[in-house]
Amino acid sequence: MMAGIAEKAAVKPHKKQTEFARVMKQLRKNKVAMAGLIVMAAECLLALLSPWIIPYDYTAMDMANCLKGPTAAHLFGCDDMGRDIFSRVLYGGRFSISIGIIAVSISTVFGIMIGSVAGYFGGQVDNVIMRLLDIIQAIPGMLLMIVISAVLGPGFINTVIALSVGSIPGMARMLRAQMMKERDNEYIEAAQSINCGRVRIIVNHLIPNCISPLIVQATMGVAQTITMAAGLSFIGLGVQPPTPEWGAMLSGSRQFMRQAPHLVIFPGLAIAVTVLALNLLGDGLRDALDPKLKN
Amino acid sequence: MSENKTENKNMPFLSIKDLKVEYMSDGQAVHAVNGVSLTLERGKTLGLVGETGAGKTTIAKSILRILPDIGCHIRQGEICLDGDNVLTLPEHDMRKIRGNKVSMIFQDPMTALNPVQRVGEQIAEVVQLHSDGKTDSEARAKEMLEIVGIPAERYYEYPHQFSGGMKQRVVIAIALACNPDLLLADEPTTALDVTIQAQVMDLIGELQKKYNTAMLLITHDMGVVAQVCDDVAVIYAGNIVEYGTKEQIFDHPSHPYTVGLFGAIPDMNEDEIWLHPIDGLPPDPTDLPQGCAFSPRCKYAGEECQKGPIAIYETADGHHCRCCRVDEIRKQEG
Repeated sequence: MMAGIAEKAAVKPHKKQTEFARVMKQLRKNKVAMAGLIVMAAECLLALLSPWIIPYDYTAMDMANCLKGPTAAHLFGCDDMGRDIFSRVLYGGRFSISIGIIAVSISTVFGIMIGSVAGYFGGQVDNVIMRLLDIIQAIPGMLLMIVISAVLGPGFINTVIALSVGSIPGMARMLRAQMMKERDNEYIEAAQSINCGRVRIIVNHLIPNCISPLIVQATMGVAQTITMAAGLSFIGLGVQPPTPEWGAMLSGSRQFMRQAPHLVIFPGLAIAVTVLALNLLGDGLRDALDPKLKN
Repeated sequence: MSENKTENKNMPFLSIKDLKVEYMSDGQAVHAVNGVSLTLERGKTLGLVGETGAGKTTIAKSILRILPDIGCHIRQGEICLDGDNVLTLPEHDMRKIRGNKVSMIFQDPMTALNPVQRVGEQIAEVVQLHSDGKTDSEARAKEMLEIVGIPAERYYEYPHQFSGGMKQRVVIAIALACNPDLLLADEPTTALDVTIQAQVMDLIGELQKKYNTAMLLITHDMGVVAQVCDDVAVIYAGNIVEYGTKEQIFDHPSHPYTVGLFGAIPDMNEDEIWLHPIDGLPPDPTDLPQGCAFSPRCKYAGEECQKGPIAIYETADGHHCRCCRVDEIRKQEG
């Protein structure tokens, strides 16, 4: 009997597909999410390739073209120091997008670790962890970021750390709430009854069931983090000029908003498009990741 | 351990002695199980019958030691499985028992499967956890699917793609994947409709016979008990009130509670307008009566019933009854 079944199994291997392939297949059905994914992929690609495709050096100043509007030579026009905005926006994507993604990844990973421990064990453990997170959350987010970047000093990595710390409690709380809801389900008891250890239950059974709101939160968090990074650049912490970070470009050009609106429009547009694409992608991902919603 | 086994050769496969379990709730102790003792031999089926909240599931979970960590205590008692007291075994040894030697079928197949994991992987998981690394867990999972009557191709599907009865089959496949010696079936058919119930019970019975598995069947369905059990224990308020073979319990119910239970089953041959429930409600488990827990609802209750704990009497060979007035009642009832 065993041999017969083994043969049968060997005949039909095509049914097996990886989790990634399944999610992609689901995602492909969702046109809007695919648009988001394509835009994001294009932006990442452009940012990666920017050193080779930008028409001008992003630091090259050309005082003759100060605040000049868009022309054929300068697609997006020039900024107050005559730097080509098109080049700066493309090159700036490297910093803005990677700051957003790295900072959110860090806060998501820590959020998952902290939230799952708090949510699974509950009781005193939960109490201690949650009160510690309360302390972080009691400080206004912007202030916390300013304090951390002021202590660590400016720079790319320090900015990333400053941006991620503030959003850890939110992530942790969200996972904890999901965890508390899921952990009383019978399948968790069933997992215990077949001898799954705690770590296995948390990692294999609970987190996959709790993660979907976090994924949405994370993709939208990237968008939010990009704007927050802009805020930090604005007060001179964050990424330092002349590095063309989108937020920094935006805040640096606010005094010219009346005479030369293109200074604000193009980096602003870059942020807006990224944020929109990420939000659409996030929504689609949530649906694709949840096998219950498959139809 | 091998010494122990030879020493305990004459001991029953599973024996529970004087098990007491309490839950703490808002500072009050909930007495869920109060001194249950029972035995079970290999290949036999013992039915645990009783109403909701009587402590049946708690007994089963105590055997696997999967009671919640917080607020739950096994106060006293011992659970001997194959000669080892599982309550004192180190966690390391418990791992060899859970899912392997003893496994559990859960009540509600809708929630007993992880919704985001493929059913095949869930069966394979238990095999993996208990294999020496050489077993092909995927092949074994597919084999188990076939055994419970599901095509092996459905290995890669998710629980929501299965009907209720099929989910319960998957749950059974998980429970039986490692050929357990003891199966704890916690109301395996409650969530299913009657035709599927019969199929599932037949399936369990068949597999049980094939592998000589002992089964502790928790249920409140007397029909299921009549179909599959060898012995029956009637549980009331965390205690066994009557214990005997299926024939003894069904032909000569002695405890007033058991009598009431049978009385509550409507007679199919007669036109009955009213059902006959047992009057009253089960006692509050935080505040159990001094004497017989059933006395407040018992029409035969007398003064001696309320005085103190009632001992369990052997009324016939192997037929036990926890009622101090059992002889009088029998005379009265004829």
